[in-house]
Amino acid sequence: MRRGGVMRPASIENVGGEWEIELPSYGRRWLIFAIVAASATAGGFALCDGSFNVPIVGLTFFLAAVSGVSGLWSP
Amino acid sequence: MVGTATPVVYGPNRWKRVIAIYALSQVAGALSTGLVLWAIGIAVRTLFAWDSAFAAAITSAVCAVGALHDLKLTTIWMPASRWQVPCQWKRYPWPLMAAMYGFGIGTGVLTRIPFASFHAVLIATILFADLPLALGVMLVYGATRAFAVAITSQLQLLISDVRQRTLTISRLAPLLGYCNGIILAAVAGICMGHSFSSRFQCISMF
Repeated sequence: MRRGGVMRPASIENVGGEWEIELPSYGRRWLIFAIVAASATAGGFALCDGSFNVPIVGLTFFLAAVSGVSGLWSP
Repeated sequence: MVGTATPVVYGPNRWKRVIAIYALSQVAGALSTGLVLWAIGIAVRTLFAWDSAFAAAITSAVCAVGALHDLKLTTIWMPASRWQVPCQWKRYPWPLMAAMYGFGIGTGVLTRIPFASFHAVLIATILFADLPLALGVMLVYGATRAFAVAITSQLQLLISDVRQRTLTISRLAPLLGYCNGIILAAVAGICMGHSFSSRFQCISMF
């Protein structure tokens, strides 16, 4: 078991010979998270004009659409 | 529902009616959740007033925690129901069955929430405390969720093996979680930058 969770890299052995998506390692996921969050923070600071509603409302609608599609994975 | 409402089970014509009822009920369920979120937002706002920078900071924090959760970087507990829509509902007449499944699943909060992006939507909708926005956001949620089910069940015409199709969907779950995590990290950053920007502008005014 890796630190922090259940996402182990897949191998042919542990899925009975069928395909499974392999995701980046734990360290790389932290790196990706840090880079994306830092870049977006800089972008949000530079681009936003102080009005809450326009960007946050747009992002909320976007997240609602993402959540709706992701709902397919709810049992 | 993906395995139930399919053209093979109901036939092409009745399947369209099942999916239509299911989709409308799902949107109705989502709108009812939007109504509740708006009421919660109004109630909380009367107790604790907040400004836009605070709302952006809270949204950013929820998105950041959700990103860590979806990227499996930490084992953070996210609130979610463990209830599942009962399979006994399949015994009801098909219009009632589709409506009950659609409404129950469409609320989004009665069943398990698979990824944390929906938590961020719920919190942001409460923070808006605005009825048209709450209904609009949840309308998008319900419509996209119903659309995803409709497309997937239509795919049965291409992949007739139900087990294979279900396996394919379940094996894509880690990828979906990964994508959700990256999206949430980006949204968290934008909201945080926005919050900083708002505070900076307030300070520079003085």
